[in-house]
Amino acid sequence: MINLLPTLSRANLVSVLAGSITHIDVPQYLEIGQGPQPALPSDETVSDPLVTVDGPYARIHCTTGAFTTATTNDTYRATGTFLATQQTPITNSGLFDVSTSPPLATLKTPVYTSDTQVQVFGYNNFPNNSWPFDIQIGSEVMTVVSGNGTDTWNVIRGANGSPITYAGIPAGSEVYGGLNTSNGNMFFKASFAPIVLAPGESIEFVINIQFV
Amino acid sequence: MQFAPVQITVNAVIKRIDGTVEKIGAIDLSKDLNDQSPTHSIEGQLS
Repeated sequence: MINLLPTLSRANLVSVLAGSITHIDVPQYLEIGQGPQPALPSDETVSDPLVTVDGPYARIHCTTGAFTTATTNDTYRATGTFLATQQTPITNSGLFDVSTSPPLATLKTPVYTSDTQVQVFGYNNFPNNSWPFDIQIGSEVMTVVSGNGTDTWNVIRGANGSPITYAGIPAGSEVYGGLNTSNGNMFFKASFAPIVLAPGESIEFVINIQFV
Repeated sequence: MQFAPVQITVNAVIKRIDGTVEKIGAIDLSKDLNDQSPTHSIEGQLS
């Protein structure tokens, strides 16, 4: 299992201490993913979030609070339970500050190493004329800086320190929204060996972030 | 000098349809907030 605070979380925490922002929104919404990518600090969303026939699976509202592990209130704890309604393999999870899921698109054409344009189906699921915002395809984060209003974005590759996908990204790959989309901010991420849940089975996550 | 200011622990409990319970964890990760590497992790095994 890999547990981490993404780079944006680290920066936001530091910004609160530095006084450049006054607060961060409570990370209390858990999203479960099924994708193969291991968690990276540059990630902005979970890998292949769960979906239902009606759309994205609603993020799970966690119970949160301050707890005492070693010294008074040294631990932030979020507890949430996912109940499977069908056979569901899961591989990763993330804790977010908003209840809404990331917007989704799929690649219309492949994206090669040197490309700085991305063509998608689902363009209008994302902010339009409200740039910049981030997208994540596999482990690579890209910053969308402009678009043509229909299906093409101009992007900065390898954003947020993420690895550029040198092998090329095939058409049909899923594109998820990151920073400055309905995805919100992912405060914490975990990836783990696949767990398969049968209908009616549940998994409860208890996430403790302790200052020691 | 202490280099582990934040410790992240994830415990997971799976409740199977046959009534059995499986636990993952405690999975501990101590890491420096400034460390960009994801490799300071340990494997969590189903027990």
